[in-house]
Amino acid sequence: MRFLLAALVLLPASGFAQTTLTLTVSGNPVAKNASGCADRVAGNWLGSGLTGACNSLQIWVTASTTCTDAPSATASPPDVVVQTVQSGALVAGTTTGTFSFAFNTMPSFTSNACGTDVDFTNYLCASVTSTGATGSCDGTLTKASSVSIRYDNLPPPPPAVSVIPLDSKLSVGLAATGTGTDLTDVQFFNVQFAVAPSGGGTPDWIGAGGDISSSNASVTINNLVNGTTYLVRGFSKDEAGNLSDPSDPVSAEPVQTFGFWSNYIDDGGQDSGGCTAAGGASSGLALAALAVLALLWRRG
Amino acid sequence: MSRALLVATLAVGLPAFAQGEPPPKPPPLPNTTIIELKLGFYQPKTGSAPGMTEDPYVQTFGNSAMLLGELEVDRSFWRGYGYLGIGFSIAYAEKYAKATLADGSPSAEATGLMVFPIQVMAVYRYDVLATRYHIPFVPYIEAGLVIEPWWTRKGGSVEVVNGKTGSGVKWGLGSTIGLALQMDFLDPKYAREAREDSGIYHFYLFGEFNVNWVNNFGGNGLNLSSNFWTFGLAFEF
Repeated sequence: MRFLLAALVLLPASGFAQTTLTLTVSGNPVAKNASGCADRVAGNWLGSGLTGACNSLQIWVTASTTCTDAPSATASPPDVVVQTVQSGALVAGTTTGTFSFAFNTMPSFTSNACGTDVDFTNYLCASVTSTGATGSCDGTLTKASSVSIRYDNLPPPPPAVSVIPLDSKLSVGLAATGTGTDLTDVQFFNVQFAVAPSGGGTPDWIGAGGDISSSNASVTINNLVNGTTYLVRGFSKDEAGNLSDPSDPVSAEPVQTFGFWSNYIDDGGQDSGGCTAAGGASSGLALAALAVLALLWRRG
Repeated sequence: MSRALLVATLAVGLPAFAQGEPPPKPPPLPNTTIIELKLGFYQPKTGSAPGMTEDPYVQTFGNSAMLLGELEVDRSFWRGYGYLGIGFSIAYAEKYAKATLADGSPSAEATGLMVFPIQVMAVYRYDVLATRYHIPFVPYIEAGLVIEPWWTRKGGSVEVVNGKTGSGVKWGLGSTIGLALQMDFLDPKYAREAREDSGIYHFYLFGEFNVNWVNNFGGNGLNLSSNFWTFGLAFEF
């Protein structure tokens, strides 16, 4: 009788073991444009409690916005299975593994050739079923949280550019424009400036600041000439690497400003500034004096 | 309550002092260290130098002093009649305003003046009233040498005009006269416990007036001299 009770307790306990499944991909979130079509998407899966698995662990990509219980061959477009791990391997203790697939094999590419100017998102899914209370394969279905994989070949709108003239400098502020994902997609801005050509020539654009994070969207262009008119334009770059058209150029002219030191000089100040050799020697003497004082102090 | 205690303390202590009674035998006093934390308002006399036509500090920042924070450490070496020691202090103050355009209107850039006064000084604190007569006032004077690094900023970097960099070091002399209020009378039991548990002999609140001549002993350069008040809290241990 006692053995029967123990068996009743232990069997369900093994069948109901808590199972979890996690998917991760390199470079998450994955977003590519046409230049990344031939890339491979790589990742790994991590499971726990898989010794109760009774069917294969499957990893697939779907064009649907939600992951079903298993990959569907009848979905439109059909789901694409990228990895199958047999239940025997899971029961034997395999709890992690890697997978990879070509980006351009995702389901939505069946109706959109790579290079098309579209923006779509497919989802990476995974699931496994555990042995149920009766010992048959009717237990809990465990699904991983989906991972989005995006193809975006649509450039974002150009940014709004504002320029504040400073002394020999221009401070450039940038902001994403548009609506919805146009605003949230932008990851970086680029800035170019040029001396305004006289007589309507073509500006000789120079890059400034490299990729400027959209979370701190400003850059200062230094070493300019006060009184010269400069043109400044900006570009938006989204998470897939698409670069917008340039914004309309904004013209600005650095101006001389007067700070405390300028005012001092203008008011007749005769200090030459800087740390002179005499000043350095004086500082050294002061430090030596302090050291002597400290020594006397310790002795006291 | 505090005022009543102070009046009572004075009432007890002053008559004995005034009636010419022989002073009590001075207690043996150990050499102590005093740490002072203080704040003040510092405005350098930058317009008071030969050849200056205007005060560039006022021109740039208006008649608004810098907020100066200071840490001072004093150590006695003689306690025969008062507290004679040496002290060392470091302070920092800065002031920012908008740089101006040629027409005098404010620009988009900020300009600033920063000073970092360092002082080594002799200190005399007349704490006889407190130690012998329990009158909680300690007048004191200090005098010493000041070294004051300074620098300017405009648009995020040190301002340079006609090849002259707006930074340097100034030397000078500093003097201070102050009055400290020994706080022990507020709660003698707590004061005794602080002495026994933490080694803190006394707490003080103080105010002091500083007269500093910081112009390289009369040189023609930037004049960082100033007369200013500071107030703070001190611990003696």
